[in-house]
Amino acid sequence: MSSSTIQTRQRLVLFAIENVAWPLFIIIYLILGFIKPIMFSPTYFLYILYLTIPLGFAIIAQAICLIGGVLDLSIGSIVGFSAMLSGLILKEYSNLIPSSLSLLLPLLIGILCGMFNGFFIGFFRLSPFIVTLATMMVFQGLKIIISGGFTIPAGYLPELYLLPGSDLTISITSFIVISAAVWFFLKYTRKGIHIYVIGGDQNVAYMMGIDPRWMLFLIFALSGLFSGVSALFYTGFNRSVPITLGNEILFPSFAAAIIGGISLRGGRGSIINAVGGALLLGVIEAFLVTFAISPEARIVGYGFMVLIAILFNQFRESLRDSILRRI
Amino acid sequence: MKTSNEQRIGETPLLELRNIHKFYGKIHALKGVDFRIYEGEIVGLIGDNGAGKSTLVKIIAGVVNRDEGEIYYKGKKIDIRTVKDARRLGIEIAFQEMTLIDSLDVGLNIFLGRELVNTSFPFILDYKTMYTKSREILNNLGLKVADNPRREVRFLSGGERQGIVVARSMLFKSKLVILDEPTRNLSVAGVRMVLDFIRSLKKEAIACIFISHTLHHVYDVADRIVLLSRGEKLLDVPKQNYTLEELENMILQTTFSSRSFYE
Repeated sequence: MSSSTIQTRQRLVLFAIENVAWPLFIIIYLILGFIKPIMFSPTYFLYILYLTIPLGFAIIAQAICLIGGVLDLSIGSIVGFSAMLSGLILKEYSNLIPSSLSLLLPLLIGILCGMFNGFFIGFFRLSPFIVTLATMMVFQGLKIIISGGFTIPAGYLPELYLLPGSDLTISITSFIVISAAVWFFLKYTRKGIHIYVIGGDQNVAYMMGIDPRWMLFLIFALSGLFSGVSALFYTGFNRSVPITLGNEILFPSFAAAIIGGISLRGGRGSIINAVGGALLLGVIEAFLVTFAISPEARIVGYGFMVLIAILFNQFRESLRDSILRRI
Repeated sequence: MKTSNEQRIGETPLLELRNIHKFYGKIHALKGVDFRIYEGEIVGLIGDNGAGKSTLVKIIAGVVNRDEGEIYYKGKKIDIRTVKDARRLGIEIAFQEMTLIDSLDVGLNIFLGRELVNTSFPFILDYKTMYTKSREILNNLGLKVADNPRREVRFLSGGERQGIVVARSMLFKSKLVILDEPTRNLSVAGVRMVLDFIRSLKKEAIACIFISHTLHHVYDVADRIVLLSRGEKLLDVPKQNYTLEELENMILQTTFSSRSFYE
């Protein structure tokens, strides 16, 4: 009887360790709430959620890559580039494109950018680090060139195009639905599980008849797709496409995915927890904004946050291993 | 070269390889090897490290592509270029170290690359059936890990890891099973289990290539012994005609004469 109680307790501890992003989110929210009681109001909570969503999609993109054992440095650039290109196309040709289809435009551009990465990484076996470092600069530069140095204001964009990102209810609902769909895809479909397999060991995957080339291509295409979704929601959220869009996404995308327990070694982690990591980051961000911390200081903060997240994750993984070994 | 073959007159081999060459850069890993295996036959493939054993079976399994030579399946000339090609022919590889994903659980590892899907929604994984079948088959093998098919593979012992690989080939009724050192890391009971498994394959007319460093492990179960050394087939003899000692002497002689040829 006592051994089963120990087992139950161990399982509870294990559950807490695996999903630590959520309790951490709640604890930090409470602490910050006591400092600034306005944070406890439901509207404020929804507002934080809403603030986090555009970044949340980029975090989903990074999480998929990390589960697949690769990393994507170009996510922020793809977000900025697809928001800008899509905005410009709509500005010039809005009369030719039905506004319902306009919603798909940034997704399409994002997915093409991701496929470009995936093509070189999958089929030429180039290092994801180098390829995405290169395309990070390519897409960043292209974004600035095509923009001509100007922000695209809301007046040039169809109202329906701005709706998902600017409406709180639609924004939150689509984020929940899309996160759930990605979670389901990764855990309950063959292709999804194969992303975990590729993240575990590409050679084993090959030996077992799973083609790493196509899987890597798929992983980066998905990363591009969700970067495109992020672009759509950023555009609506800002009600414009500023030239700086996407510049501050890369680091938080890593930080949230790692805080959410997605191992840098690949093959481990859950999207649900990456979303928890995103919310945690959102609370901290909102707090920094309300306390009027300068953007420069926030960048320093993000740098340390990534470092702390990696250390934290390493500690968490070894703790988890030591419990699992005993069960 | 000393070769004597067991003739199964009038029978077409299940799989036949002719004049197989393989180069790794400048290294000539296989130098025109002929190999064949009949339905339900157990071939013990032996040789030192670097003899070409694993290159040969990897060619059969579609993991490595040959540079020269032909492959025949039931007498028909075919090509094996990918693991999927091999699996379509019912060839199952059971390389212990190379076919497990440490971070995934036992059930998923058993079904790796061939996950079961829900019958009415064929895009959804059927975890329940996968875990039930895993539990059954591991129970049959007498492995304790059968209690917990959700355990991550990296926490298993060498014997249990081997058990997963063996379970795989039992589950997917294959035509030809390639076992790479299946008795390594196993306890006495584990070794007996694997040998029983190999015999049970024979009963179901499943052929088996059993790779080992030493003759001792394969002698008990093999119908035929094939010896590779430095990319060449030095010996290919039916076991029944020879005692263990006679075979050992033959191996010593052939390897010795081939060594002196080089040195």
